[in-house]
Amino acid sequence: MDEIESGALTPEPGPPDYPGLGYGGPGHGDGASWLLPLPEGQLAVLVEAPAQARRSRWWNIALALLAVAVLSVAVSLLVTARRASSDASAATAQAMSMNQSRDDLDTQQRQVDDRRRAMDTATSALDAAMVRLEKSMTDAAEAQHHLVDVHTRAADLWNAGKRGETANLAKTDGAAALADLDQKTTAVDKAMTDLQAATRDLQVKFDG
Amino acid sequence: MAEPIVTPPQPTVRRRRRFSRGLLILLVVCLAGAVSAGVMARSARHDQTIAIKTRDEASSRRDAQQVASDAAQGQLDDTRRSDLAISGSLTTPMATAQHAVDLANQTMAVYRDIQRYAESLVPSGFNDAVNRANALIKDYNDTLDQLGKELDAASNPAVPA
Repeated sequence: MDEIESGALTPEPGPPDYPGLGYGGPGHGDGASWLLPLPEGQLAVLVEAPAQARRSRWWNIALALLAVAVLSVAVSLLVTARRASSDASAATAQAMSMNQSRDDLDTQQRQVDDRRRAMDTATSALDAAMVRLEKSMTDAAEAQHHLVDVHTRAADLWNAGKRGETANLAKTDGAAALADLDQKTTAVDKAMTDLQAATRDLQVKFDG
Repeated sequence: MAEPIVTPPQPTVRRRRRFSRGLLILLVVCLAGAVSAGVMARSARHDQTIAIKTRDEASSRRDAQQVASDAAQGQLDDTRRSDLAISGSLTTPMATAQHAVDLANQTMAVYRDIQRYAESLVPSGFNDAVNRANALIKDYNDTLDQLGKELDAASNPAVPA
């Protein structure tokens, strides 16, 4: 509210808590002034009241404090946002690193599994080669027994003086038994070669 | 009494009002900044939550993969130990088997002699060849017996821990 102070331009001291504000005409004090023409030719000065000035000042202080408070909140929120963003970036980087580590482990596991399967396959091949060698030797032994039987019969015929039958038996059954034994012995050779190859393959797989 | 004539405010008053307006504008700007910062903070916190969740999931998957990889490596180590035992246990039978094969080939050559003498009816050569064959057969049979024992032992090798 404005107050009208009329009369002579007598400066009056301002309130103690607002010493810069005083009553008077232009050039006096800090208050707003309204010049009022008076009938006597004197001027009436409408000045800002001390209470309004105080309110204005407190209002400015309150605004400034509020602005500072809001600014502090904004800065605090910005710091929080930046920290959270930094944490998010760090967590994302860690997640990517862990994903990469997991992929590496997965690749490593596949390689390990492949190697183990290769070794299992080589071991199975070695077992099979041993079985084939054993069987081929058994077959060769049977063929050998058969050939020995034929030769024993031939010897018996020879000893009985049946030379023609001896020669005939040797050329028929004997030749067939010998061919069979030759074939079985060749199979033994091949089985032995396969076994040696399987052993070498297992060693290669073992050395990785 | 005349109507009051309103004159423009004095410079000090204008400055104060300008200052007030400035403070108001600053306050509004600060409020806008605070709101923006709040939105940014909220978004960043959301991103942080998602990133941490993603990281934790990745960590769990990595740990699970580590367990699987360790298990696979353990299986491989077991297989390697087993294969090492097999390879070691096969060394002797392999040598014995090679000896048996050599004997079989030698016996085969003698059998060819026997067959030739039988076909040509040469008893002296026949008997001599049979004697050589018998000696080889005995050695061959002994070698096969030895091989059988060695293979039995190799079929259950002692796997080192």
